[in-house]
Amino acid sequence: MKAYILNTNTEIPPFGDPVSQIPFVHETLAESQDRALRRFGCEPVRVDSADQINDTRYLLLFDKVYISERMLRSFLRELRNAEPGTKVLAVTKSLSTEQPRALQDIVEEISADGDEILLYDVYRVDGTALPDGPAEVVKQTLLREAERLVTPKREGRIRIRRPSVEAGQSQSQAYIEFPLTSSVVMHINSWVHILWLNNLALGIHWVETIRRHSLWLFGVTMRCFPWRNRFKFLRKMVRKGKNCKIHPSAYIEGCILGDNVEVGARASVRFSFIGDNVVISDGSTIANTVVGKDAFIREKTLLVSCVIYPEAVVDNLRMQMSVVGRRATISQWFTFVDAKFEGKIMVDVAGGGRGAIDTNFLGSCAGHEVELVGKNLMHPGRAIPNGYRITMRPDEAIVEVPKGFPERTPLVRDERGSLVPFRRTD
Amino acid sequence: MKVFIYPTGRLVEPFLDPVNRISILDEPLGRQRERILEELGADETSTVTAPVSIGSEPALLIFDHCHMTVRTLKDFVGHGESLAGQSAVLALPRGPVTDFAGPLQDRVVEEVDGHERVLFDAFVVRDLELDPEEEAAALRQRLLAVAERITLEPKVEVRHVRWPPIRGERQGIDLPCSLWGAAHLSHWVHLLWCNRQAIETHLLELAAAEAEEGRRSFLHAGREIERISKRGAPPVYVGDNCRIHPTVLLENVVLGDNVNLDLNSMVRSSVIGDKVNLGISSTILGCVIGANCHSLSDFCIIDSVTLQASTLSNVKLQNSVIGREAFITTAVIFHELGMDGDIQVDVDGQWVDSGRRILGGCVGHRCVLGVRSMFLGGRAVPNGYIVVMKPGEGLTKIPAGLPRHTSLYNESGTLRLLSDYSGPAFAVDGDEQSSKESP
Repeated sequence: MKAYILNTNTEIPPFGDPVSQIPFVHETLAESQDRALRRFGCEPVRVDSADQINDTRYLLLFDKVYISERMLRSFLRELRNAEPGTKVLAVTKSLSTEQPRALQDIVEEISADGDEILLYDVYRVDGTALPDGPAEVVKQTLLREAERLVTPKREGRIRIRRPSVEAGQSQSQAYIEFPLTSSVVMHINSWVHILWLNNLALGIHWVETIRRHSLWLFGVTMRCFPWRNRFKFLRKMVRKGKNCKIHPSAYIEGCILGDNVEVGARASVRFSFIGDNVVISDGSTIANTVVGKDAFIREKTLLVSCVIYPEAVVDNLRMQMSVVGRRATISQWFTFVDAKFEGKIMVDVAGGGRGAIDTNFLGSCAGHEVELVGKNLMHPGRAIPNGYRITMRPDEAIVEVPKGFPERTPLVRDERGSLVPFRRTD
Repeated sequence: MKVFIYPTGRLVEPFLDPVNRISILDEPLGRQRERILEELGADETSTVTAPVSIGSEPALLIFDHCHMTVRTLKDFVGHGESLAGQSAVLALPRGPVTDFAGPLQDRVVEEVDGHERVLFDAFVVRDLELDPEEEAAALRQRLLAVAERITLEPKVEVRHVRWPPIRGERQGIDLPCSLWGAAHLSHWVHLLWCNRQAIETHLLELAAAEAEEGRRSFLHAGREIERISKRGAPPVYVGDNCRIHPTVLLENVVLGDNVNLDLNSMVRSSVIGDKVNLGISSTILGCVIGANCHSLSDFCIIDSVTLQASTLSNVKLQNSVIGREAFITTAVIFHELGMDGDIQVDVDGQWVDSGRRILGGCVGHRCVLGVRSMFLGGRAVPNGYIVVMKPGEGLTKIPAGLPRHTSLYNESGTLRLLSDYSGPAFAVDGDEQSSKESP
């Protein structure tokens, strides 16, 4: 069966990249779609409009849809057992659909069984004539005619402690649940979806890796006998590429490393995907992060749940839940604030405008070739357009150090960035 | 062979120390030179303070700002003893050995047969009248006019140090690992770069000395490291009475006597002086730490030099020089990354390119830098300065009786209700929240 992928002309701010080019681990969304479709015998064909489709029975995806192999397999299996006719992928609400749900243009319905279901832009078209026009018109037509095919999925969940942000809430109640599944489908409309999708990649990739390399997993499991220490097992759950240089004191667990990766002394890398030729310098800590190829992580950098595009340079002391664009450079004192305790965090979405997301914890996004230097704080949810360079105001740093003051005289920075004697005013 | 040290009268800012007192690997340059010459069997070393006449026997004349490694000096003296002409000058072929600390150096570069060589102020002379009143530059010109060039052939291995790129272009520098090297010190940046180069040279010298003694250095060091840490790699040279926590990581390190390294510290490619005390989780990478220095917890310093008896507490200090008895608090920042090209430094009142895109700053002796002292890269703080935070930047007054669970902000050092904020709007366009948005 042919699978047509319809171009929606979606560009993800602030990158301006077509949605098909956004990164999912170490491939683009388009590559990921093609790989999944080919695995199940579907030949992907990319089309700009519906009038380029000549078949009568085929799969139709929108280019902004990410669908994992496992979810696609479940959908195709349901199709085999289903009556002829046009169908749309429907998924029952669950943690893995709800957590990254914000800002996705998904239709929500109540199924015949009374369950809340979400309709994604993945269709089996069977005889339905599609109108010419933008993708949104095609979607409306298909949703009117298509039967909802509820596709089952399995998911686990893990609890992660988070700070309490609500008045009166005990710290012991402050947990966030995180889905662990390889059955994922998402619409990509914003940079936060890139972030969330890559955060889910851990479950998706590991489950798929384990499925493909079950013999390797058996070997790892046997080597960890008597299975009392889960950290011993996690340390073995590392797949390394060729020519990796890993310092003996570095700690790596649950990771997939590309070729020629360098990991420095006392660096810790957990549950992350590291691309080819990445350098992780001494003392860095990287957790649940996707680092693109040729990226450079400098000394004592801490990255948690981030997406780093290829060739970026990150020198932050601490960065969480943020996205850094291609060839961007972030110096050590540029800080992305990653929590907001009052009001909602707003982020840019494709097609203009901004939307609120339902979480108190989110960093920011730096576009491609952005240069961020100096000491700055950025509010959560902000997106810096491509090529911007942000520095400090000249008067915020000491620019001029005059000579001639007597020793032991307390000095303070003035409005011009020069040092002047400090006078106590109160 | 007699040795004459010619004083250039140069003071190194911001320390205002004579160049002879500038520390290389925690030892003043003058004393280090005398020690090396003594080891090489020099007859007599004297500083030219009055007119002196050098006879027909070859003598060594070194300007006091000239730093040379042991091997360089040894090879030069070896060649100079068989001198046929009136004088000879030390030359090294231009390459990483001469260029790592090359920018801002007052030196002569010559081109011969398509190859460049750098001339240093170390001469073998005979039949020469020396007068300390003569300008060093004039004497150099006089000597170079007639001196035979003795060009050494250094063996060098290069380690590429990667820097953040500029607009996609890869940046970095070649750090030479060689027994040979020479430089003219005149600026605090030379103190920084020569020390970085000297760490690699010193480790090679120690390994070479052990090899000469018939011991394989890595085996010797391996025993030491096994005793002190399960995670680490030789060569590690440990002085007497050091107290090293079992969790410490040591690699390519020379420790002085009575050094105390606390829990979870990491020291790589560094030279640590006597009686240094490193606090919990300290990270020292590519540094020279002077004797009696003390670091507080979670201190991190990279590619820097600290002179003696300083107290250090900083989350990440890079490519900087800290003077004697200085105190650096936690949030002192030198913005060491130059996005517009090379970082500029002050040379005799003029701002000139330092030749480096990555450069921190320099803190004079006895300085105290308080919280939020933020300097642009390349700045040098004169001796004894105390820099404090602007009063309004930190919270000083916390009024009682403010409502609970309500957002407050700092205005000129006093806590106020965010809802009373009257300044200009700062939320971005399209944000549904009002301008009174809290992070």
